[in-house]
Amino acid sequence: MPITINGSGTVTGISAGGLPDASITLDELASSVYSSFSAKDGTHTTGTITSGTAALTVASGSGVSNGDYVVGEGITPGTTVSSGGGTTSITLSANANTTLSSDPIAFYSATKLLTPGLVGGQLCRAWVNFNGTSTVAIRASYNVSSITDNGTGDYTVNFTTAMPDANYASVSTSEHDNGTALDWLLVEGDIPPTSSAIRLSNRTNAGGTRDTRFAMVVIFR
Amino acid sequence: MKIIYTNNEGGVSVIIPTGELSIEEVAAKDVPEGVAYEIVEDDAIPSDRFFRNAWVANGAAIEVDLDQAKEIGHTIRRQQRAEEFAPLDEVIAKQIPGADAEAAEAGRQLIRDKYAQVQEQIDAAATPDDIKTALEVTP
Repeated sequence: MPITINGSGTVTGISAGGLPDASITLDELASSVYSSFSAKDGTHTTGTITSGTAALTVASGSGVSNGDYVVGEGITPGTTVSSGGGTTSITLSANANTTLSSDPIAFYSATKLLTPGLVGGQLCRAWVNFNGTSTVAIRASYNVSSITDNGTGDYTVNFTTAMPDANYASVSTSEHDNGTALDWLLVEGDIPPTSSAIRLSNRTNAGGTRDTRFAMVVIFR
Repeated sequence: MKIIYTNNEGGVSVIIPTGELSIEEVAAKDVPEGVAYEIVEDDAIPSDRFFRNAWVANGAAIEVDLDQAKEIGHTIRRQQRAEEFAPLDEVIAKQIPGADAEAAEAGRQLIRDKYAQVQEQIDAAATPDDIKTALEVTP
């Protein structure tokens, strides 16, 4: 008997030992397998946690489910919600490595596909936003273990999980201040990117180096 | 917590962890292999980066190398002088009609004298703040 997807949204024709008729519907495919628009955007709130612990308090637990991936400063990539989904008292699968106090935190479904046709190479592998002036400080990041400040306008972005190879694409932006200075955050040609890090030089339109307040780096592979 | 080490150029590299890994894991992964490092408190890192490329590590402390700071000071002095020279150079080089070339040359001499004095002050500086003072930068 042929397998048929019926106009009613049911599947028939699966033989004994397989799935029973009508056990898979297009609605189920749509709602249970693929992410909705809101699921792709994730659930965003603020969180408070003490470094070295897994007990996260969020401003709102609405839309948060057990098993969701958790993204935030100091949250190890791959961390999920172990328990407490839907409430404001959440337990994570891994201890946080930094203390958060009402800082941004996001939750993404770990059980649904993003969308048909979206493949790994279209996803950002790592990103970071940091202030390279005064006391160099990282505002937010993903899959970045650290920034190395090597000198004036000279920074290395170190990846938590290495890229498959050094043939990734980096996108980096810097700032234009209110004066005449234009800055470009460029790959340092003398030190080519590696699978574990990329070194960048913030250059002015005069060719010198300068610290920048807004360094933003995104990596695709 | 941050990590400092002496880099290939003889300066100081400062590692700022994101928090995804522990400080020990970051040190093991992000400090170049075989290089000695120190884990320091955040306040061990100067927030004044005026002489950033003159930073040197002295154990767990970061200091400013005075000779390198003077080199940086002289580079800034030359840039400042060139910026002040530029409009006067234009008058003389382009022979702009109606412009007073003699006044422009006199202006250039004043700039030369001013920056000769700055040069002497930088050379005689005993501290990085003396260099900033010579450059009219608030120490």
